[in-house]
Amino acid sequence: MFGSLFSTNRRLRDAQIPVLAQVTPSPWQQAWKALRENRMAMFCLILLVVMAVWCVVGPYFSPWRDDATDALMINKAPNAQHWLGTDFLGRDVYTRLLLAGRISLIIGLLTMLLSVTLGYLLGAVSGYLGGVADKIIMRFADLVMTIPSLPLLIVMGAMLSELDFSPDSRVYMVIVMLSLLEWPKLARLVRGQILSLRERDFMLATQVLGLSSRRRLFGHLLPNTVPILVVMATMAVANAILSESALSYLGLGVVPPTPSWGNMMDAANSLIDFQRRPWLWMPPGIAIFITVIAINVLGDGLRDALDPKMKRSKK
Amino acid sequence: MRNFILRRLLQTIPMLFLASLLIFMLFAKTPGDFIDGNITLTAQRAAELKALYGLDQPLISRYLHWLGNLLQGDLGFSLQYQIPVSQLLNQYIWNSFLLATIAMVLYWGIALAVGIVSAMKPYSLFDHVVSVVIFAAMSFPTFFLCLLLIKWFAVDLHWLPVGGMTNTGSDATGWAWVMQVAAHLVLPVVALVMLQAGSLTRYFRASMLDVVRMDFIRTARAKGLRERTVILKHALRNALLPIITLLGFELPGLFSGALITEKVFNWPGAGHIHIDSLAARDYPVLMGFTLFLAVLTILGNLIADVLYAWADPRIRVRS
Repeated sequence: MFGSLFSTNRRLRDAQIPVLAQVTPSPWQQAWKALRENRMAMFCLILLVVMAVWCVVGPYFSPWRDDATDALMINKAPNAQHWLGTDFLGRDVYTRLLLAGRISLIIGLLTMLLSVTLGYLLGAVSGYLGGVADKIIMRFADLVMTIPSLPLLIVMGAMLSELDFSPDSRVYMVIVMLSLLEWPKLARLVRGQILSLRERDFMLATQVLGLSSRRRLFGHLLPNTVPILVVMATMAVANAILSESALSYLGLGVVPPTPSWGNMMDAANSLIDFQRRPWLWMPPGIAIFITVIAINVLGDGLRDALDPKMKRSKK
Repeated sequence: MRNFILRRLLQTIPMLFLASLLIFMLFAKTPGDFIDGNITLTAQRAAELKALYGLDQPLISRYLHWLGNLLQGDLGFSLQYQIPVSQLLNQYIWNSFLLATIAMVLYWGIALAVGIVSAMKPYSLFDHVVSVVIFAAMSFPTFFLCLLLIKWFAVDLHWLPVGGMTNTGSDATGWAWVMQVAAHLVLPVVALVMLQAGSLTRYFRASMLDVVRMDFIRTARAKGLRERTVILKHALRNALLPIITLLGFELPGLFSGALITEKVFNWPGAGHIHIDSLAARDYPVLMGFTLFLAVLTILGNLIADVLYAWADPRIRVRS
C-alpha cells in the first residue's frame, strides 16, 4: 500500500517536474511581467524612449540649424515656422530644445553610469571586506557628505574651469563633478545592503556547502544587490538631470552656446524675457519636469517589480 | 547612554578637523580671489592688500592661523562687507531660519498626516492621487517651480508680492510689518514645502506600511482594538522610529538657507549672501559659512544617532 502510494506520488512528481520547469519564470521574467502589468510605469518607459529618440533624431528633420542666427527674427513668439518661437539671436527654440535634450539626457545617463560604478564598487568593497578598507572608504564618504553640495559643486566648477575646457567638453566636466558628489550616498546604500545580505541564511548555506569565496561573492552575494542597484541607477539619472539644470541655471554647468535644458532657462533671469517671453524658459522647464517625473515613476515601478516584499503586500 | 553620547562626541572631533582642512584647501586652491577680482587696483596696491590679509603666506601657516582663530570663536572678517563674518551671518541667518522653520513644520505635518492616511488605506484612490501629486512636486527643478509660482501668483494674478521680505522702501513697523513679511513668505514657503514634502511623505508611508504588516499589529486587531487605536497608538509609534533620525538631518537645512529659492525670491537670507560671496570670491565668508554648516551637519548626525538610541532601546544594547 505504501509502495503504491509512493509510486503514484513519484510518477506524479516525475510528470510535473518538466512542466513546472517550463512554467516557472526566472526572477527577471517575473519582474518584467510585474513591470508590464504596471501601466503607469510602462507608459513612462515608453515616454522616455520616445523623448530620447525624438531628441536624437528630431534635429535632423528640423529646417533650422542650431547656430543659425537670424537678425530679422529675434524674440518671435511661437508661430507656424518656429513652433516654439525664437530667442534673442533669432535661433529656433524648438531645435535648441531637442539639442539641449541630447545634452541633458547624456549628462543624466553618463553621470548615473560613473557615480553608480564608483559607488557600487566602493560600497561593495567596503561592505564585503570590512576592517580598515571599510573605515577609510566610509569616513571619506562621510566627509564628502558633510560639506554642503552646492558650494562644493561651485568650487569644483571654478577649479575645473581654470583648466580651460571648451564649451563642448564642459559637459564632461559637469558629469565628473556630479558623480564625485553622488557616489557617497550610493556607496552607503550598497554597503548597508551587502552587510545585511551577508548575515542572511542563504549566505550561511553557501559557506556550509563549501563554495569558493569567488563563487559566493559573484554567484550569490552580488546578484542579490542588483535589484536595489537598478532602482538606484534609475533615480540617479533623475537626480543628475535636476542637478545639471540647477548648476547651468546658476551659470556653472554647461555654458552657451552649447544648449542644455538648464542653461536655456537662464533666459528667465532677465525680467523682460521672464514676463513677456515665456516660450524661452517654459519649454525646457516642462521638458525637465516630464523627464524627471517619468524616471521617478519608472523607478518606483521597478522597485515594486523587483522587490518580492512589495508584491506580497498588494494582495 | 551617557557613554554612548560621549563616545560619539569624541568621534566627531577628528571629523571636524578633516572637514576644516578640506574646506580650507578647497577654497584656498580655488583660482582667483577677492583682490584679483578688482581690476582697478595697481599691482603694488594688490600686493599690499594681499600682505595685509595674509594671502601671501604659505598655505599651511594660513590654515593654522585660520584654525587658531576658529578655536577662539573668530570666524574671520568679510572682505566684501568689511564686518566680521559672525556678525554678517547673524544678520542674515535668522531670515533663513524663519523661512526654513515654517516650511519644515508644514511639510513634516503634511508628510505625517498623508503618510498615516495612505497607510491606513493603501492602494486606495486617495493613496494613488497623493502619490501622483508627490511625484509631480518632487520632479520640479527648484528654480522652475519658483519661477512658475512667481509668474502665476505674483505677475499674472497680482495676489502676492514677487520677492523680497518687505515692500520696497517700506518702513512699516509692528503689526503692519508682520503682515508684510507674512505675505512675502507665502510663495517661498509653498515652493519649499512642495519640494521637500514628497520624499518625506514617501519615506513615512513606506515605514508605516512596513509596520502595519507586522504580527503585533495583527495581534492588536485580533484583540478587537479600534482601528484608530491600532494605527495611532501601535503602528505610528513604531513607524516614527526611523523618521526620528531624519529630524537630526534637518538641522543644517534650517540655517543653510535654500540657495536657489532665496535667490529667485530675493529673500535676504543666508543663501543670498552665500551666492553674493561666491560672486565676489569673499573667501572668509564662504569658508566660515561652509564650516558652520559642516559643524551643523556633524551635530545633526550626532543628534540623529542619539535620538535613535533614545527611542529604540535595541540600538543602545547593540552598540
